[in-house]
Amino acid sequence: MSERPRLAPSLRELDEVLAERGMPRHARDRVGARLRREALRREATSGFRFRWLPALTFAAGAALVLMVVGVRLRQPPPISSQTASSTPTVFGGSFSVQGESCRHVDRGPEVELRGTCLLSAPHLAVHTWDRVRLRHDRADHESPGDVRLVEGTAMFDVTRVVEGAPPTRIPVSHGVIEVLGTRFTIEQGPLGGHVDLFEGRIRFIDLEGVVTEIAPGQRHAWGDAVAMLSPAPNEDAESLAPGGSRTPAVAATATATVVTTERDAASEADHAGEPDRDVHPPRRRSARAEPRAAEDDDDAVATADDATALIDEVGRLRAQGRYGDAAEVLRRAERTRHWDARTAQVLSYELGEIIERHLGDRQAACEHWARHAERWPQGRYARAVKAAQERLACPNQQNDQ
Amino acid sequence: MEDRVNRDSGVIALEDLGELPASAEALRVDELYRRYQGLVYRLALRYGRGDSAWAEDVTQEVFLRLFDVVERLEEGDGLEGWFYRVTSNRCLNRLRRERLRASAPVRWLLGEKARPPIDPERLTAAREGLGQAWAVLDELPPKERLAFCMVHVDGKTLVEIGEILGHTKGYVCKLVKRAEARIREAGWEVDHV
Repeated sequence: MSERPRLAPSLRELDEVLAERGMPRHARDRVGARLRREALRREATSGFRFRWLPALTFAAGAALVLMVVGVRLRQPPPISSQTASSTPTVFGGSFSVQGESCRHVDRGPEVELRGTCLLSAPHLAVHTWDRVRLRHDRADHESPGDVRLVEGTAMFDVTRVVEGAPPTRIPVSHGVIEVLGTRFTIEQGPLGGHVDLFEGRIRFIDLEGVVTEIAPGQRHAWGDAVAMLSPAPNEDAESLAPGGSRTPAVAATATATVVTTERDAASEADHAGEPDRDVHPPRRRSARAEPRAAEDDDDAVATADDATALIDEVGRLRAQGRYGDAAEVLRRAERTRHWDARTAQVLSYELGEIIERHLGDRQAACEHWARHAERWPQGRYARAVKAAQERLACPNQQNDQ
Repeated sequence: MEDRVNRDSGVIALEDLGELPASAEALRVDELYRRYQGLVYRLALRYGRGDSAWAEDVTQEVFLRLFDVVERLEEGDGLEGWFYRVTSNRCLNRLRRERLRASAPVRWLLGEKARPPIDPERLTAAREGLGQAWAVLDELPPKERLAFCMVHVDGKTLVEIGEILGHTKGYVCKLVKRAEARIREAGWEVDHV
């Protein structure tokens, strides 16, 4: 009889250890910030793709000709063709759990999920990817669909909301989240947690009955997670490579705005004495886009390289807390370069964000948002700009209403 | 019970936390990142011998790649297969590059010293047996390492592994057998699958 150790079970156990530890928070944040920068870069430069439209058209025509003369182009198999082999398992009477590497342990009304799982109900889908404990909460509420997130992180997708029907309720440690048709993530720890809302509308009712309305793009925290609820720019500045990060668009609450503005105002004060010449032109410019005197450069056409360099420069200044300089760089870029419509919108929105959130200049922000709204009334940021105007109670916005 | 509306306490915009992208494409990537970063990171950590920086780099590469295909990806369990495949291949490519760079002639050309081996017990300090298992795995050539883990840890079939690595079933079978032989030589037992 062999007494040699068996490798496969040890490796499986090792995998369990790794799965339980998960990705460290700081690593998650770093990668997340890098992805956001990539999203911004793509967003800003995608407009330039259209300049290749004639070439693409020609290439498509050439490909068609080749096909006609008998060349067959093999298409790669669609990515979605891979299918899961798992079958759903029912728990709690009305919920089914499935997922290729999903493991679940039923403990009466409670189920522990590990791996990537999908919990389905007629009105609700819950995606999980770490260790999560869920409880079927039939006893606490009349609705048979209540799921309590006991511990872990899960994304809820409420797919069907019937007019007049009672809202879906998701109990957490310090209250209940009422769902009115939406998509959001809840992270519940032993002593607190938070919910991130991406779409739709939810409200949080704490144990004392206090209702907090949560808008898309907001996080609401409870318990010990409230202490960790502070804006991230400085953290980004420490953790990111030069180039910084970009904070995109959504509505913010007054509290969050005030907190950000106060801190950044202090940061601005530190740099108040810096002369304009400290505002460097964007790096990595192409030879064509060499910095030139601003006023005699009105017709300069910006390239994709210019956009990338400008975004890098603004990100770097933001990461250093030099929001005034970042705004100046954006203003100068708007004045001195001719940007395509898509990039111009992104830059304008970025400038508005800095003026409003970091410089805290309400009047200038209102003026900027008014110009932006006038220039792109149906633009990609129209809703966010409208929300900003409402948030700031801008005069022109009030007149509109 | 009278509901009082509280619009301030405990609420902050996700953007102020640096946690929300703007476009639909970026939002989708962000959503998938939240859902699948655990799977990707765990696989990368396994093949990267517990090196968290290595695993973080792989995770970033995988999700940056996602930007190129996110519009074509469809919801469903096929997503998990995509992440598994792309992560495995990224790990394999990295391991091959590292193996090449670690070879004596290349080190001599680049003027680099041999890198100290990564302590495989850093994550499993309390479990010596697991650390030793990792060390055995680390001795395998990259492709054999992946094929062995896919069969014995993830329960993949030879055909599935062939699709992931781009090889025939016969070649994958050969890789697994070679790996099993090396592991047995190292004094470990391998279950028959």
